[in-house]
Amino acid sequence: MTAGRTNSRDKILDAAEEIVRERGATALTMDALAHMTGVGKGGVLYHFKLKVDLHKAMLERHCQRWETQLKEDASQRGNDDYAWLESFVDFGIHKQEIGEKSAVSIIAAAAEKPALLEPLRRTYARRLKRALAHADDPYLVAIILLAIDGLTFFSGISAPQVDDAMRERIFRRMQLLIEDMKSRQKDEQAP
Amino acid sequence: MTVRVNARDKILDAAELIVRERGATAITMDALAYMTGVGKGGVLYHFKLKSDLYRAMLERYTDRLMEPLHLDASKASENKYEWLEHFVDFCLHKDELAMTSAISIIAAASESPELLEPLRKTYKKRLDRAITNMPDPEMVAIIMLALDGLITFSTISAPPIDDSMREGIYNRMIDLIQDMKKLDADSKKQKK
Repeated sequence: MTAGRTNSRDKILDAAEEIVRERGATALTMDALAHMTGVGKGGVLYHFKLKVDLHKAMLERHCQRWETQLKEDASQRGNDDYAWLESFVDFGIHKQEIGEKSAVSIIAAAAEKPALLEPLRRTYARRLKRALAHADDPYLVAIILLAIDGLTFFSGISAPQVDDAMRERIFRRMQLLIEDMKSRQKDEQAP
Repeated sequence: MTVRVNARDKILDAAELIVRERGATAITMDALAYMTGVGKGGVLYHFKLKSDLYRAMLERYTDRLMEPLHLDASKASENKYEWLEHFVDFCLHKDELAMTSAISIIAAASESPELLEPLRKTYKKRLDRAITNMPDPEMVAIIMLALDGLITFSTISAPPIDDSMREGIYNRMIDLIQDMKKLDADSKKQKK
């Protein structure tokens, strides 16, 4: 695998995200990609034989980036039981470009073939399981996770439910909820 | 006239079924004509352009999202907490909402940003309605956003959340609302 190949693969994926963001999920075609990237249709087909391969790669790349960054951020926070949740909330509220890219790959896959979203469902289920593993108040954790999912998806498609000021207030409210859960946990662990 | 209205709904039902099972790229006027039996002329009579169809699908979906706002409007205005509970119940227990396949409809409409305008407006109206006069508006917003996340992602072929998790979330949300209500009542008592 040469660097050149890796780069053109990423270039195609970047172009695919841009097409969906600017012209919608139904505008994503192999021809449009070939035209935009300049790698030619043969080049696009070399990396992605079928359109479903392209969609899988878009979703996978996005999920991997997100998971890697979350893991790094959580370990910097000390990796305690709530570190991952804190990172997730912080990213969801403040890294809007992540939400945008995720929404774009989700709607692209949904427009092509809804069954393509199956791996994403598994990622979400895994994420939820991990967040709930040590939580004393698992349903509140689930509510926070779902709220972030709802917020990032709709901001990602430029239909945010709340404005930026409210977004920040929601962030602080979530931090408070997590702080409460943490201090309750400490109280329980205290002798 | 009623015949026309029914045909229109029939076409929209068929379009939803197609996006849910095969995705927006599978929607063609031919497929709709074949599935509904209204003929291609019938489909084109109701929806000249695909964007007209997408707009109508999204409108029908946002109407459904707004449904709890109209239900018992008189009663709900008396008690904002009851309204919120009602809303949570509606979102978590009405299967037909999940069946509308929000993600797929949004995907279909993504070809043009202005198609999503009614959705944007609906969200704003709904959230404003929910947080007005609430002492803890951020908590209310968190509940509303979580419901959006849940509804949207439960339309992915199989939801990441099973029924017992869904009930747990439901009960926890009702608890949160009851807590807010109690705090609100207590602080009013103190003022007196």
